[in-house]
Amino acid sequence: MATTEHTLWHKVWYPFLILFIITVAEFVVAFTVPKGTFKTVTFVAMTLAKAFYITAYFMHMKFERVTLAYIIISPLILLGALLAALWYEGVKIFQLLFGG
Amino acid sequence: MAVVATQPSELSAPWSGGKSPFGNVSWGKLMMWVFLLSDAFTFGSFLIAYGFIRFKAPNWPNPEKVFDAAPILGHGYPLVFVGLMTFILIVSSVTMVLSVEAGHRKDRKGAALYLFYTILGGLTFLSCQAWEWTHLILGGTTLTGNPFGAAQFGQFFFLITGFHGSHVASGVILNLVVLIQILRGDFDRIGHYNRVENIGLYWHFVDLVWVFVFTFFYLL
Repeated sequence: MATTEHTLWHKVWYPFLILFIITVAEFVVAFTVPKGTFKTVTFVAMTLAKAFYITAYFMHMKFERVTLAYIIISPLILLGALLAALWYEGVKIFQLLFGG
Repeated sequence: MAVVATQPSELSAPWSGGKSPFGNVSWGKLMMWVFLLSDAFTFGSFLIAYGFIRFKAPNWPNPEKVFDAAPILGHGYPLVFVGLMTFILIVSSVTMVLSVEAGHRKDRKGAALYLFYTILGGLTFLSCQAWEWTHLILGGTTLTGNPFGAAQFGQFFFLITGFHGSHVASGVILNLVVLIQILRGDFDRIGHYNRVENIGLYWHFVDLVWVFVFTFFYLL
């Protein structure tokens, strides 16, 4: 009985608590920190942290074979390639349009 | 020199044949993961394209100005309503985990009850989104323009939240189908509740996408 409660805490309430705290922190940051690079980086870091807890605990990825995790997560590097390409392109177009 | 027959090492053993390299992951679950990967590419491409257009449009609307209304409260409450929507979706993910967990214990009533709560959460989220869309459209935000700034804002907002909302809607339908199957006792007959776990993965993915939409549309 004690072990079931422990796993329930570990698999459900612990990630839920963390997601809840991060979401509340996001609201605090949204209203207190001025717009800028620091705010953007904080938000992106918080989003990735939430994504990690949803995938690892709710979607159970942490308790699967690592093979599965590698096969599903490694292709997402391609999104990084798209992001890098459009980032570069975006800076160029911004300079072209507004002479920045 | 004699060839030494080697035992497969810990690392290569899963791939040495004769059994699935993924352990006891069912084919349905593996295929759900592959589908979710393809869906992640779709949403990822949408969000990156959105970032690109937003970056090159100088008069991008300030989200705190656009999303400042809530039912009953009226205007002047930025992020309150969307915060509620985020919370509803996270809670529905929690009830989904509890349903999957009850399914593992072959607890038919528990699985059905928590899945029912998940469906309620999904429907509440969809209602909130319907209210928000109505509010924005009546306020003049359309695909061709809006009173807050760059016209592309409306296009990307309706494209991405609409695509996400249609995922929530199909998730609710899938959950309803599986709820009926639980109540009919289908999974007790076949001996496992794997299907609850598979639609659970889909549901968590919808929650995961919302986390990104929330940050990039409402917070930044």
